[in-house]
Order: sequence, then structure tokens, then C-alpha cells
Amino acid sequence: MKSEFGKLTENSFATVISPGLFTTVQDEGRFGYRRYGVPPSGPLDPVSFRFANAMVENPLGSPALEILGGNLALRMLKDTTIGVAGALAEINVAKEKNQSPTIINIQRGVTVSIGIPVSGFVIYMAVRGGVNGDFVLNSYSTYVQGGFGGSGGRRLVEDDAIDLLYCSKVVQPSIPETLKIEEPARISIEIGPHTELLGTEVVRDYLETGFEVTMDSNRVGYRLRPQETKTLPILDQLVSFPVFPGMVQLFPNGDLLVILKDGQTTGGYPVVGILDEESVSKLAQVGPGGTVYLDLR
Amino acid sequence: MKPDLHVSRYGNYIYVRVCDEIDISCNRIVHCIDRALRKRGPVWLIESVPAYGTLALVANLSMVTFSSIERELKELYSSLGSDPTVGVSGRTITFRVMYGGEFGPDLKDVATETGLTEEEVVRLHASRIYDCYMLGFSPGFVYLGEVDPKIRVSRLKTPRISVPEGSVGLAGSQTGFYGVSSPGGWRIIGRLVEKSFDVRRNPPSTVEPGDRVKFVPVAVGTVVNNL
Repeated sequence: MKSEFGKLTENSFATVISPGLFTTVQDEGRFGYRRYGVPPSGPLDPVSFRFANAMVENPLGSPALEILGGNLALRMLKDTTIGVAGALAEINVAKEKNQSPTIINIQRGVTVSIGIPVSGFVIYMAVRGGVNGDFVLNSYSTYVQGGFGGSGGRRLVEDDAIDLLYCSKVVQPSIPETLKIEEPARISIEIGPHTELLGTEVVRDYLETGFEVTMDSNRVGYRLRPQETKTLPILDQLVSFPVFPGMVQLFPNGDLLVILKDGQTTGGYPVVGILDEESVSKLAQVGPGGTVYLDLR
Repeated sequence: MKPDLHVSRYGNYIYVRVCDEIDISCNRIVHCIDRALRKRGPVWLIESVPAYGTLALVANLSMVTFSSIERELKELYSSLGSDPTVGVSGRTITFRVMYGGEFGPDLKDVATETGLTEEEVVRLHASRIYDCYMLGFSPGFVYLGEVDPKIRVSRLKTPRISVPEGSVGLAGSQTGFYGVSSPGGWRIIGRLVEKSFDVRRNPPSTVEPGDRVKFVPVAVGTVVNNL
């Protein structure tokens, strides 16, 4: 799909000096299209995403920047207010140092740079008025594998201009909770469609082993590699069935794949557990290279 | 015989399981329940996702309890009669396909492997009307079956990094096509002339789960709307 995203317009509030590792525009997600194989996309850590929007008094679910691994630098073109939440990182505005989570009033012309997180992995930068992007299938969320939505179906690159959406200001009825970032993280998990088939106690014992989030993990899914070799009964490949973000697949080699927001809509591996939204948010913040322990409830 | 429904809940997701196989009569029941449920449009239903033998539902469980949803589903299922598939069938969608050459790089190998000529493979592939079991894997990927036993081949040993959108592939008893460019391991024998998946349309896919699909071979060189 042809996209106009990245072009400088009168609505541009910033241009990209350094895009960071993987920065995209995300709103709450794209719903209703799984039956056509389209995943929801949306924030990897919805808890921090909502907090960032609430800080700048945006309507719930307004599109914001999702910055994986930090290292984003923007030249600001308008006077505005930003809210930064999620992973803990240093934010430099002109020469002034700030720490996330925080609200900062910005004057046009300054440079905003977000460093590499000291704790956590996913940062949200909400801008008062929301971040504009391609509105595809009722969502501003970027889906890179599909090549559509949000920031032109791709991650931000140097020299992209980013526009304001100009959504109306709302007074938040209540400020949502912030996410407590832990590392290593203990994450609670509920039983999934095949937990009992494999034996709940066997699975519980397996999940308590520490896992490392592998470096090839991304918005499609986080792959978890067991720190100790323990064996689980092997199930035959199953006939594909619908799967959802938060579901934990077991691969024949013992790795787990936690399906995230850009993950496939169907899969054929046994699902040994499911993470709720808060657990998914916690896991997202662990990031590649981190360690997690899964407590089966 | 009408199979029993198994309804279970995991988080906010409800799985309605009819069977655990790739079986067309079971799959048709999945689509019948999906259609009947969507027609009824219960307030708790956010999204429904049909697959081979399972219908998954995203439910708003703050509105109703799981047990009342389970009751509603079983009641709906019994109201569908002893054979829920009677009188229910999807539309038949026709796609033109350019077989072979640059659009079907694996057609030659499929012919060699099956001991047929390329023309015979094309004729056998285009001679059936297929059922769409589900969409999945990637946006707009359509799973179809069943393929004539004479042209059943295994997947590529090493999947391709990128298969162009509109590519028509074979894998065992299944055929299907790619809605967007993606990595893939199916044996590619042709390319659709018509665009089957377009995010500027709503719904984005020409084919709905449960529809039927017919392929018509056309000469290579036909205008490709896909590109």
C-alpha cells in the first residue's frame, strides 16, 4: 500500500534525527479482522501505553510512539506536551535531563532524545493531540509484516516527519496504574488449551524453570529458551486453530513462543498457557536478553 | 451424525471445538455456527475466528458469565437441526490464475514429481471447486481443499524468504494463496490475476471463511491488477 507517512506537512510536530531500534505508531489495536488473518497489532505493553496517553490528557487509545529499546531523537517543530512512560530511561530536552515516566512541555526547535532504558525495554511517547499515521482497517497501529497501518506499515527512519492527529483533550476520570518493571520478572500464567493434556503439574514444573528471552524476539512474539534442560512430553503437530496474543506455544525443542500483538492468527503448536494483559505488559518490558520465571496459577 | 460441541474458556477467549481433524463436514459445521452466531449478534461477541475444527470467540466477559455463553452456544447449535450444514453454503468466488513460468516457479517440479505434464497439473488444479477452510498464517492467506490426490506434493524443504502476494501454492491435500507478500514454504504454481486482499477495502479479503473458490487458467501476460 502506498503511504504518505513521513512527509513534512503543516501538521508535523517533529522530524526524526535518530529513529532508534524499532519505533512505530500504535493505537489500542486493530479489531475484527482476525478471521481474515490480520493480527490486532497495538501496544506490546498496553498498561504503559494507556498511562502515557493519560498523562497528556488524550482520549483512551490515542495513537502514540512505541519505542523498543529507546535511542530515539526528534527535532520538535511545534510547542507541545509529551508524556513518556514504560521502560525507565533518560530523556534529554535541549540540555535538561529528565527521567521517565514524566510529562514535559516542549518548545519548538528543541531536540528531544530518549536514551537506552536502564530498566525495561518498551517506551511510549504520547503527544498531546495524538500521533497521526495511516488509518487502515479502523486502526492507526503499524503492522510491519503486513506492510500497512500507522507509520506507513514500517518502523520510523531518519528524516521522517511525524504529524499531530489533533484529537480533542479529555480530562481523565482516573489515572491508570503504572506498570511495575521487574527484572528478572516473575509472571503469572493461566492454563491454556493443552496444559491438561501435557499434565498440569509437569507443565508447572517446566514453566518455573527460568527462561531467557532470545535476541530474535520481536513484536510478533518473544521466544523463551529454558535455562535448564528439562523435558516435556512431545505432542504431535496439531491441526491449526486460532491463537491470540498472550498465548504460550511449546515448540518441539522445548522453547516457548509467547504470541504478541503482531503474531499469527492461527497456529499448530500446543498452547501450554496464557498470559493476561498485565502479564503480557510485564513480559514485553523484560525484552530480548532478559530472564523470566512463569508461575502457573 | 452431529458431533458434540466442546466449549471452553481461556482468558477472554472462548473455544468452540467441533473436531481436531482437517475434515470438510466438520469444518462446514464450524462455519455454520459462525454464521448463525454473527447473524444473532449477541452483545458479548467482540470477534469470531473460524478455523479447521474450532471456532474461537473473543468475548466481553464483563457483560455475561461464561456459563451463560456456553448455554447460548449449545442452544444455538441444537436449533441448527440434525444436519447444520443443510441449505447453507458460501458463495463461489472465481479467480483467474496465470500458471507456471515466473508466476509459478514450482510448477515444473510438481509436474516432474507427480509424473504429469505441466498442463495436466494445471487442469487438475483448476478442475475442482475448493472449500475455504479458514484464513490465517498471514493477512489474507486462504486455506483451500481438497486437492486431487494426483497432484499432492510436500512443502519446500527450505521455505522462501518472500513469496509475492497473489501466489497460488500447493501443500499436501491443501491449496491456497498468499494475500500479502510473506515468507512461505508452499509449492508455488501460479499467481492470481485479481487482487484477493486489499486493506483499503472492508472487508479486506474477497474470500470469507466458508466460501468456495474456483480457479480459471489464463495465459501468462494477462494484465496483473495485483502489481
